[in-house]
Amino acid sequence: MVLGMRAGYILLICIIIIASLVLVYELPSNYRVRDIPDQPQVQIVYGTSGIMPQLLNTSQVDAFFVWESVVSTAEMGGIGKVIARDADIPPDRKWENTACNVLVMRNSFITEYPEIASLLSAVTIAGIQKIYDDPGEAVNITARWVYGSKPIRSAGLFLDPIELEKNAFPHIVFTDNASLPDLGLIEKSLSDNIMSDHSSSNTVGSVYKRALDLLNGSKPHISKTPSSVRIGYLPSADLYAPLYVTIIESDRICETYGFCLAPRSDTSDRPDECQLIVNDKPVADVQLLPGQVGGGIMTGLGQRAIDVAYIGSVPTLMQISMGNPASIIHSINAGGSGLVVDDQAPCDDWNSFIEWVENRSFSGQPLIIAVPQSSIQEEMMREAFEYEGIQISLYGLPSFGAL
Amino acid sequence: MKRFHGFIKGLAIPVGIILIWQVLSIYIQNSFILPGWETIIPVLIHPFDPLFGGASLYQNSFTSLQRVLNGFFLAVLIGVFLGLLCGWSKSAEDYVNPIIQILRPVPPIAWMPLAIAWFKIGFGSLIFIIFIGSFFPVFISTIEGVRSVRVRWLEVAQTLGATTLEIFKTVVIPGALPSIWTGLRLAFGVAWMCLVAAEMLPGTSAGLGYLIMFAYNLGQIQVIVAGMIIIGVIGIVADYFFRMGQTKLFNWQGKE
Repeated sequence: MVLGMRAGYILLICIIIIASLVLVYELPSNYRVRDIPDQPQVQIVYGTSGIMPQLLNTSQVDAFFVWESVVSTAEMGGIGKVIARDADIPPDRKWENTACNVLVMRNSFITEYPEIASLLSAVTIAGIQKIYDDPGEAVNITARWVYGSKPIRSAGLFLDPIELEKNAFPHIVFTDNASLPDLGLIEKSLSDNIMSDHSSSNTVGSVYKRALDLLNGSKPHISKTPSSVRIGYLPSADLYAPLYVTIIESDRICETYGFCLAPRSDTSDRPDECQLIVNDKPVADVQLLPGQVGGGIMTGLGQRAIDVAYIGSVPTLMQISMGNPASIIHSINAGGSGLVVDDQAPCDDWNSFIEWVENRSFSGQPLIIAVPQSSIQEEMMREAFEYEGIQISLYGLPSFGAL
Repeated sequence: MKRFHGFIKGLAIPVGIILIWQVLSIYIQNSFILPGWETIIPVLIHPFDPLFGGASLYQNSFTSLQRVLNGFFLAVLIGVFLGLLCGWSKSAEDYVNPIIQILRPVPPIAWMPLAIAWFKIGFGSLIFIIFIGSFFPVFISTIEGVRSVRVRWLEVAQTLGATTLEIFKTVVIPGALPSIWTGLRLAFGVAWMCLVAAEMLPGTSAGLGYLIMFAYNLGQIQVIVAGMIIIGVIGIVADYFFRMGQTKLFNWQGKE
């Protein structure tokens, strides 16, 4: 017994010694000073959109590039300044009319319920139209949907959600005909053998064409209806305003077109149970399923847990390329991204930002820029930095080399 | 021979699951729901190939193992120290116990925003999440271990004239070790469970948790399953060593 106790004692001491050694070895390696590179470098750190203002505010990143209304939250909350928008990001205004978010549907859903698919596309386009008809009301609806009615806190300030959306909306182009992004650099950063050609087969023209016909007065012919349609979306993003507007303004849309996506109850600013109405009759129950990330919603689509989704164009294209049996119907918006830096940062536009990148890189402290992983913002940053001759490395992966 | 039979019995259910899995995957024909083993095995047998243009399965596993060990060892250092203190001293327990009971039910993932704010992106915040998860099993098992030391042993030591420090060193700590050991075993498992949450934090670009979440975003379920298998294998190997340690070191338990 005494022997066993002694052995146990020795073992515990060994564990403590090993633990101390591991910690002592590991800690400095994470705070190692980097060598000064030959070529200017930036580091990319992945993060969710919501956490980025916190990262900038606590000086953990030097800049972030993300979508509205996170950009406006940082700008109006005194966290940072916006120095570039989509059109300012090189090469040469490439991103000005590139689809940021899209309406996507599972192929089997389109095949089985083509008219329902077209009706959902049509109500989305009607929502886009409604935003331009009454932008003030669209701002109110979106603000209430995303933030509720109470002020939100950003750094030391309270922000009015409506004022926030008023600041964000002019930077978003809601459109159903933006072009799809070419995923050059994200594809290159992924394994070559799992990506296939997606350039020819991601959009379904017939659903979109039929949707336009329906909006132009063609009568819906529904031969088969699903028991329920499950729509995935990201409730924290105002880029899906067409969905919010088409639901909240369903009475007016029904009056105009004879069909709409109406909430089951009028009492909620963010309904999750809706009905697709055609000629005053419900034809399908619609469930709105909030998600955390676009890629996850897209996976749900492949798993047949979701039928339709409003998500980012890049995760959609990437998954379609990898075999997700889904199709993009049309875009929801273009633009809406912003590059935010600290108020004190020595730059006011893209060119001075690049100078800052170079100066910091050559002083051995490359800038750290946060982007959402596998997003159009990541693709834009990768292409822009490649265009500027700046090397990208991933933060937190020093021992495996730059990617 | 008995051991071999035991090993075969242990294999029966996993092999059965693999077979049923494969049959169902052929039937379902949807790699997003149930990827076939013909897609999972290539990921496992090429551990040095880069995945999604990033770190390989081996690099991801090694990175995660490093993180888990760091968080776990930190939890062991602090958990054992505080556990011994609170188990031995009623006064220390009165101070520490309320806050421990308040914090214990909070899931490690809920600490993520605070972890980033306090420890910055990267190593510190990751280790904190793993530490938070594995600290409580160590701490509580240590307290229980100290309390379960037989009163008769303490009385004998006192009768023989041992000082408080000597009693603590020669009776309390060795007597508490079997329970501490069980706590370490539980904590190591919890540390792995916290890994996926920890590797969702910004500033992470490698690790099995990161790989699983990245594969989820890309709809690559076969990579998710491969990552889960690796976590499971590391877990079973670690558990084997813990059990072996228990058998070899603490076989005096129950014989007294």
